[in-house]
Amino acid sequence: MVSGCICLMTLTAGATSPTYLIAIGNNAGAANEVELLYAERDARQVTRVFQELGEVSGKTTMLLAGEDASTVRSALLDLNARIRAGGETNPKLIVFYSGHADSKALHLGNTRLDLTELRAIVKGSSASVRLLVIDACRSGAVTRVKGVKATPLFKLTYDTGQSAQGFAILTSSSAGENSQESDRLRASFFSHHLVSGLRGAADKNMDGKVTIDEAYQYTYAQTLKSSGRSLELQHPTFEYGLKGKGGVILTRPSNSKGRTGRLRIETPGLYLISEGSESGPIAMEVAVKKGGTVVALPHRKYFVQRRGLNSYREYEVTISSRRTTRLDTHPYRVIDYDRLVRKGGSQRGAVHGLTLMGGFRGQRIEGMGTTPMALAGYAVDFSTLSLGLRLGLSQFETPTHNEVQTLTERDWSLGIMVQRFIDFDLVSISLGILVEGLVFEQQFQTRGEAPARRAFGFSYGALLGIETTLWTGLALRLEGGPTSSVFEQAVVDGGEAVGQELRTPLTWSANAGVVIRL
Amino acid sequence: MNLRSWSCLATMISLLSCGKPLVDESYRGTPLFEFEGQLDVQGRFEPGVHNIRLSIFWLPDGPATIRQHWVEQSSASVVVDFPSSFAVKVFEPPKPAHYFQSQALGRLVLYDDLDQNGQYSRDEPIVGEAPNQGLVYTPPDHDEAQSFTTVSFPQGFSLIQYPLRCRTRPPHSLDAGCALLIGAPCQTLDDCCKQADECEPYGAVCIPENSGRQRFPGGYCVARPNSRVCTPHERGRDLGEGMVAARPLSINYVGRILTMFVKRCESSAECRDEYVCEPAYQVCLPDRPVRLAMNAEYEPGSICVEDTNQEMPSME
Repeated sequence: MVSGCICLMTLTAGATSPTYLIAIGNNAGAANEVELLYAERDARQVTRVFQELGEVSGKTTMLLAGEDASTVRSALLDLNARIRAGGETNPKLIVFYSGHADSKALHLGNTRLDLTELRAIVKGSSASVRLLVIDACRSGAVTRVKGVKATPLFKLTYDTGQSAQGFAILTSSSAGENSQESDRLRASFFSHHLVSGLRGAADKNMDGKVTIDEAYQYTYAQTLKSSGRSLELQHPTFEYGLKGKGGVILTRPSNSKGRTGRLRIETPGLYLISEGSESGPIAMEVAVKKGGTVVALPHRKYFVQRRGLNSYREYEVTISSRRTTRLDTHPYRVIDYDRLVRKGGSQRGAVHGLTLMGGFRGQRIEGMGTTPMALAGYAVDFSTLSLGLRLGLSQFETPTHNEVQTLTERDWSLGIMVQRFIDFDLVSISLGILVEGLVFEQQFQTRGEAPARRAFGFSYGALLGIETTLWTGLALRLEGGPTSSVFEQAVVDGGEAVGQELRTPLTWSANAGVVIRL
Repeated sequence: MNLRSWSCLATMISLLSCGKPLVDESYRGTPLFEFEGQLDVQGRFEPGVHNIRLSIFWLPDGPATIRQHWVEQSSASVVVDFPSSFAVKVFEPPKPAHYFQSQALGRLVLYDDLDQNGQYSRDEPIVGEAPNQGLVYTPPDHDEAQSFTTVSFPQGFSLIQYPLRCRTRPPHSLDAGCALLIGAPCQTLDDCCKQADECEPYGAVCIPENSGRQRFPGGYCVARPNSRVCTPHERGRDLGEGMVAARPLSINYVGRILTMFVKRCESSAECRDEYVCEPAYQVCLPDRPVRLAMNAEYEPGSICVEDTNQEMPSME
């Protein structure tokens, strides 16, 4: 069985007991393993969230980045000795690891630390609550694959003490699965969601505290969801044995301290919180299930993006130290998916849309004048171009010859459009070309003989458009431009058709309507 | 361009040639009837000052000459310049409301389109017409017995000679079969008889090609009414060998109106080249263009003649 990431935890209930943290990160693995990018960063982020929101101080924290097995081993043993000597009531021990591993050992550069040894060291600690998190990885390409070799699942054992004590194992992936890290998140999926959960996203009952159960449930769901968009699914596992009453509190986002503030989110949805600006590092990807969720973040300015079904809502907020900022009171702008696709900011490769428009077209045949037209279209917006099909109908009736005869003309068109959109704050401008096939039908109401006529042709032209969003998924579009049509026209002499000639009149069209993006 | 591009281009071009080409607002359809003519000017008309149009006016009152009741078919209206020839195409039949009895009778009228709206307005002056020609429209369901003109017209439009013999049947009792070459071309009298010496005594007459106002292309053999070789003949009965069906008609010959036997016909196929079967009288006559006479002092005449002597009206 495979144990991709393994967590050992010993738990003890207790609100004010000290917590000791060892965070180990190592980007380097064995000689045949590709160096990771974010393993050491994961360890720093975990350290940071526990220091800001947990009962961990600088004195009870140890960050081991890029260290070998002997250093880690020594650090763990020293800490065990320190806890044992300290005589504190119900201390907690949390050990976090991010890096390469296989089914038997962590790979700390070229050195190995056996899992059985690690497990024995943690389990042997005198701390009441013992927690080991291993996010083992091996690198992939764009989204690097963190993995371990196939092996029987790490076997769990549980302590059965009378007090709130326990021993648990949390794995970032199940047997046979790999764990992944993301360039977009600049972290491994698992570590990122664990940190987000600890910052408050996992606070399911919204009591301002994140327990081990809440952290696991949140991390499991979000890791599975994120990995679903990547190479393969990743199922974190979490098993623990706990004796005693009450949940084990890992962090308290509502009681942020130091330079940490809080962001209160009222509207459920998926939020992407980036530092500084849209292009800044992603601080948190948080799925808010209920209104009133509070997440704790370091004091600074953030770009918050709420990803809805058909649009993004973007905020810019500043989190102040020890203060709660309500996101919903901030102004925002709605960005439809078509814009996101065009600027490459969406995971959707294309946005489909329907267009309904009406307008006018200049005369193609002398004397016919400006005629009304209706258009129905379908378009696909890609990042660089928009491709569309459109069906048009123009129908008009005109009396001729002192109103003794009536001509009814119906023009059908089926065209292909290629457009390039340029997005501004309030409007989008489009430039494009259009090629259409045309079918003309002329019918005459007369007491004489004038059989119906049907002719074929085509037209080509330029399209200039301007579009503004009315509502999510609904936009108003004005569009038009010059077009040239090519068709055969009869030469009429004395009222009678006596010949034909090829006509290529230059005319125009102008339309207005709505675009419904699907 | 590669082969595929050429194929696409060829497909588009061939597609263009499919169907019927589009028409503009000047299109009126397929002409139901057309005729040509010439315009004669009598009196003073300054070219460019007037906007003279030729149009068909239907006569719901029949022979009455109340202009106010005439109805123009403006779709057949054309501008005429003078001196000139003209061509008129008729694209639609008259409305039943414009019929007189079971047919529509039309005059070819010239008017000055003062407001230049392409149609006749009540205060615009009528300045001329075709004095001896007009138009008859016979609907498909026409009953000959109900005909005002009492003659059998082919269905549709017919250009006819005015004035008409109105309200009385044509003098079928005067129809005859003649042992002369009635209707044949001639340069001398001898051309009208099978035996040259028979012509004069038998009452044959050769009307040379240019004998008066009316031109008879190639000459035209007729017979005097008292010809000894012309015997009464009822239509529908067999003519004898070498006999030609004839009918008396008053024609202008060397300055005099004379009644002559001319070749009778049912259709123009029975007439020589450049001759047509005149529908109202059913005789072969020269296919002459419509002649319009323009005169500022124009007063319309009746399209009917009183029939008192059972003779055909004269043909000027």
